[in-house]
Amino acid sequence: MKLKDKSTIISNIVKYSERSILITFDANHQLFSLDWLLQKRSWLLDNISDKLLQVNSTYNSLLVTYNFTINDFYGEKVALRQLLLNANEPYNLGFRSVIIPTCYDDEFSIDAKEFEHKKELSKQDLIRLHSGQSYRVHFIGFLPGFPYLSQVKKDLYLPRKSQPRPKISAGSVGIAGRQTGIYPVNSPGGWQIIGQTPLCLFDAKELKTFLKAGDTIRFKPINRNEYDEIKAEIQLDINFQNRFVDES
Amino acid sequence: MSLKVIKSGPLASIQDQGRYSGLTMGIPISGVMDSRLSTYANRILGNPKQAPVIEIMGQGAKFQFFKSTYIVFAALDADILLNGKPIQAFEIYKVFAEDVLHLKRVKSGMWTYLAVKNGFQIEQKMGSSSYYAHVFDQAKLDNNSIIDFNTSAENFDEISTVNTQLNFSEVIELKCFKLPEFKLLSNSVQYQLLHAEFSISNQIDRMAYQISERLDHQLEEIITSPVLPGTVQFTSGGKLIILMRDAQVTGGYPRIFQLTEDSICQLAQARPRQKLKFSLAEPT
Repeated sequence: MKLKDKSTIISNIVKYSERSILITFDANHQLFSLDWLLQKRSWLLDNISDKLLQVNSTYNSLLVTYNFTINDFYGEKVALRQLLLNANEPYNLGFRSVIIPTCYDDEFSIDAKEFEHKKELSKQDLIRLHSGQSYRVHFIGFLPGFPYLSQVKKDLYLPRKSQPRPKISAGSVGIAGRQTGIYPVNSPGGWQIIGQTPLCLFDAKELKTFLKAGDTIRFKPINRNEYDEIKAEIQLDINFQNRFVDES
Repeated sequence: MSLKVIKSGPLASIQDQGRYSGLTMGIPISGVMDSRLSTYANRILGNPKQAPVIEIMGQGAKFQFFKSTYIVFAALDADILLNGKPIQAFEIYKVFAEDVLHLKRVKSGMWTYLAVKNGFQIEQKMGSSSYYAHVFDQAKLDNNSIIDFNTSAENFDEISTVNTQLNFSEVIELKCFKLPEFKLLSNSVQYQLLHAEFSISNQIDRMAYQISERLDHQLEEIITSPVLPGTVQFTSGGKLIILMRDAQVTGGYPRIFQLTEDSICQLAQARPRQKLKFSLAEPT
């Protein structure tokens, strides 16, 4: 197969605001991957850190925010293009593997019935399918510490609830369309809730998120006793949850 | 003890220019809703632009000072009382221990600001003192909250005049840039967006201002993508939502416009039923 022109990996670069430029990538390009995107993000931050306030990424875009008003958009656009397309040494971004212990008991999986009615999935199949694959964390958005994960298996696709719940408790694991995610803090929300993790995804004291873009995660079914034990340990010392992270 | 909140009113909080370091952790930028007013107030006092100020929504707030300093109150049009006597917005006043400042009535706009010489002394979280519930809840001011500032001995004999140009017309014109999903709209919807008059609904807060009118369109939701304060989202139900300072950092609704910083400030001051129009900030 002939390699597509490298430059076509950039779909477009547009001025987003007075201080921000949005770069959208062709996610179907052979060279495009989550790792590639995160490498480019680091590359931009390292090379033009003196000009930047922040670069935030989503599935297929980077939003570059400068610490000044952009007067010469075309100049910045050319500079960004060059930085993105020039070969650079691959970074070791140190991607981690993380286990998310999850209790799928009825008490927590408040929308399991929806999967039974609409997808003809037994509770067992729901757990098997959801915990039977790994997911990548593409980015953190929506709420402090909320991970956007790669897709669930097709049998688990289920749209959001038509009427969002006023309160979903922190740790709730849900599905919305093809996405699965974990509510880091109490919040209103419309995702279909299938379980709950005792882990703390947003440490409001230290202002740290448990997960980071690039992590590979896997949900591990646990029973209610294990849930309570882990939760109690974390309440004593939040560092207890680091045992679920594999840094290698 | 420097300043005590006697009455906070509907919402009062410490704000500055916000934080960008949390964007990749899902933490909003936050910061002052109307950066024009806070910047003027800080400039008059000779403070840096990012000096923390008290942001007040609505009217009724009351504060008591426990040591002397210089203050500037910033408002579009408000009755402000210092020890019961009216004072002017955008002018320096010296206050002493026991003095009481009362925001009696806000005649125009939504947000007003109290700035003190050298800014309020409050810790920073991720490079900013701005209140945001999940990050810095202590920066929210309730009745009896206490905030510090440094006593200022400085003299303001020669006051630098600051031109506070703030016009507020019957129909505000929001200047904006086109965002990626705008071009996917039909010509007629594009035309309506740029020519019709809209109005602000009752749903307004630090996260977003919603528009009352709905417009039908055929756009589908997008893959979750970055958004910023000032981004105009077009929901599948045809609702227009203008994101404000505490907006989430990513969104799945089509993004059609991005307001200029000045227009975000103008919109921030708009009350429910205020009429508005969108117009392009740059020729295309």
